[in-house]
Amino acid sequence: MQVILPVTFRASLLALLLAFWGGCTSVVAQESAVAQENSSPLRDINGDSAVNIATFGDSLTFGIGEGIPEGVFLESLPEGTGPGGYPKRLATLLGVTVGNGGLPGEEFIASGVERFATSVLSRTSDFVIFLEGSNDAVKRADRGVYARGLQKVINVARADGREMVLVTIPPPVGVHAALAPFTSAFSTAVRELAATNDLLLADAERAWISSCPDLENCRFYSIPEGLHPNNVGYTALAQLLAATFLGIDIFSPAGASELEAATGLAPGSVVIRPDVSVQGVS
Amino acid sequence: MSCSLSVRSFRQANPIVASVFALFFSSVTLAGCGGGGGGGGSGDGASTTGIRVLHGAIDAAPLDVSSSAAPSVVVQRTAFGMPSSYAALPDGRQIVRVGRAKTPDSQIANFNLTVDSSQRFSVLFFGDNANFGLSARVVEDLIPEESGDGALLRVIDGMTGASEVSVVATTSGAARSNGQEYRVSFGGVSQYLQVPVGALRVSAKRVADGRILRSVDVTLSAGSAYTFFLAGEADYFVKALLLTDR
Repeated sequence: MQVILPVTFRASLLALLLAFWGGCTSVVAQESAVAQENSSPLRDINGDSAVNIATFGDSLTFGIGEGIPEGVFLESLPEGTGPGGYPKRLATLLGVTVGNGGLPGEEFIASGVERFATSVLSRTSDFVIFLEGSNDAVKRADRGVYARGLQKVINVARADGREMVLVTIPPPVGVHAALAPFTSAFSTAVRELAATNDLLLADAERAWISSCPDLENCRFYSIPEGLHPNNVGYTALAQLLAATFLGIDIFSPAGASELEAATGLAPGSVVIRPDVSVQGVS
Repeated sequence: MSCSLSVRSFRQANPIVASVFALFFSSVTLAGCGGGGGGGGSGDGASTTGIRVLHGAIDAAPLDVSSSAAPSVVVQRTAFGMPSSYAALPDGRQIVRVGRAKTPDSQIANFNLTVDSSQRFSVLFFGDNANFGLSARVVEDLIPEESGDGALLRVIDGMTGASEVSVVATTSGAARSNGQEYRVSFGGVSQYLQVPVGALRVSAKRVADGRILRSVDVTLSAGSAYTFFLAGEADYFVKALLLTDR
């Protein structure tokens, strides 16, 4: 059972609590308290009085494509985009610290598994968001090997007292469409491991498909580059993850309005569309 | 119960009153709305006999343990590096099955056990998918009755990357020769040996090159029995846990 209070409401409640108790004045502490006062998945796991989220991945985590608006025609991205991406937007949405552990070009199997233990465990965090595999798709990596590596980093994170949040891979299109069968296979593995390990899942592949009826012209990408999200795409990823942390089913007909209410977003600003194939929305 | 819906509706109608109300409401009822959590059912937490799972395989999924003599899963979703508590087994002959969690058809290992209610067993799951393969064994946890003035400690090695480890338990400032040393091979289980009570440092090193893999400071009580469990992969991630067996 989850109790989810809207952020604006929770903020006013927090202010009252602080007034009563004459307590702490630090902004960071207030943000953390906001995040902890409900029983949504977002919570202070390690007991350090703050909610910290680490991220791990490749260029899609680093934020390559950051700053490129919707509708720009690009076959390849200009040098120097990023960092930013979804971690920056998620921090704003949730009011908690979100680190950026993206390393552009990294292959998960070849080097990501190894980096995980050093880069993630060297910093304090309650959650680790995992989104990686696009470069493994370039190498046509085996799904089973990918899954074993993912299970390994899940085990390491949990044994170290952190919760993992798994993200499926947005489906590549345009000049990168040939990668889609591989990223789709990895995304299937991600879903299976999330279920087996009782982990939070943010299904980005599903979000892309539900929100882009014509995937080849998806507004979340610069077309025809079709691999790295643009500003709207990174906003979609951040909204998807915020909904996941707040226990909101973003694919339900009411998901967008619930997320807007919970995070103080203006009505109509959620870019993810309901999943009509599952929800039966006409 | 959907606490969030009723709170939201009220807030939209009366935002200020709702905040004051929520302050009172939260102090009275939020504990009732919360709860849950925990997860990863691992034994019943109350039993001191039966069976538990020690999962040391770093790239393997969580495990379920079931018994041909029990109607439901005996130990649920034991994850790597997070040993379960003991869970009671029915008395008598039975087949104990170890499988991937939430995958009823999965069967990693079967064991024929004859159980009486006073016995304790540990399922040790070790190895890996990538290089060594996965292995499981059942160990009866035979704890000596006599522990003298000290405590009893044994070592279970479920860690890859070292064919043999040397584990030494020493009191603070004590010379190494005063400590108890265990030599345990990969997948091995030592005998319980008597060690001093109080604050100890337990260190595991790889015999092949002498590299210290993990050191843990622990506090042991007189008359108690413990397992020092090593899980994971040397040179990558090693989890060392002290389990209270008695």
